[in-house]
Amino acid sequence: MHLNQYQLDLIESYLNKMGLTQIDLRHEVIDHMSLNIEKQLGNGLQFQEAFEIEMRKWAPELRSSFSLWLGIANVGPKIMIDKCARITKELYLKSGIAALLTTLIFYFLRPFWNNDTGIFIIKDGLGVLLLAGVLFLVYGFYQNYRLGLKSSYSFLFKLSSSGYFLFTVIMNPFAMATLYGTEHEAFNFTGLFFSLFALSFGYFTYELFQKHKLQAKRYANG
Amino acid sequence: MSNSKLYKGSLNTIILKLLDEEGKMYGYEITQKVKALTQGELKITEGALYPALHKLEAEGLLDVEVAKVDNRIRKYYKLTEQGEKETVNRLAELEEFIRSMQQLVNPKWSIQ
Repeated sequence: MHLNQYQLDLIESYLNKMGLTQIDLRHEVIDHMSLNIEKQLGNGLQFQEAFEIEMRKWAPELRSSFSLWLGIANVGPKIMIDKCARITKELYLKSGIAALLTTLIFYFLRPFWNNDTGIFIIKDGLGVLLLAGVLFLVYGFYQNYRLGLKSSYSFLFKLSSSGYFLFTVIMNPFAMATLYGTEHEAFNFTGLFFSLFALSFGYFTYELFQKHKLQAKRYANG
Repeated sequence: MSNSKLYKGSLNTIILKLLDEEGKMYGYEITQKVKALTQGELKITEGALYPALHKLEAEGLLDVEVAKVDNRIRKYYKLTEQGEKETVNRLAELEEFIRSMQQLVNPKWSIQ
């Protein structure tokens, strides 16, 4: 016995109430709940009874939750927060590795630099790239707004973009002239590492936007 | 999962094996298939199944297809090329693990 549109709307309303609005998770949960309810209807239960059983079953996965990786202010259904926390850990790890490797390359090439020119290129080059990253992310924000859909990736994209904007303000050599040391000091590779980390973080954040676009396309065609 | 922590570490391999055999499956179908194959002994909960599927998808082992069925959208999972290779590796690892466990628990008995 298939559920009618009114019954499906009741499930959708329940998921709206629980905050599961992300397309990559929501449709999957609706389908799973519907199939279980249909099975129970086949066993002779009324829709309301079967729906209540299903709501109880899903309650642990849909309860409001947070992760320290995302910040305690960012709450949502546990199934979504857990997915986002896992992606965020990977995001930090990939950014850290990329930044570390690039910093090491700069470090080992240090003897070949002409001091002033080399530092000028690194500082200004990175400054420009970090600001270009802001433009890419603003473009992503605009596209997200136009798509008008939510997914776990759009949730994370917004969160990580905000982090990138903040990071760029703090770690941009144009804003912080002494980030890589002064002309009287040795070059500060720690500052370079953090700028490269911010740049890698911005790149992987933009990838989140691409993944969101893929989800939107996938569900629009489905 | 309902009854044992022993199954927990093998969940991903179970999913990969099922998808290898069936081609493409959706979440509910996987839970029902596992239940049927184990005569109800093993029940995969939603809380264990979906995070595992999402992780395998993120690792590039699963691909996703969506289709409209019965007035709602259904999400199908299938193995990627990398997923097919990984299934072979993980099944070999699992078989090796079972063999080692048998030797530890009951050295005189063997499945082969």
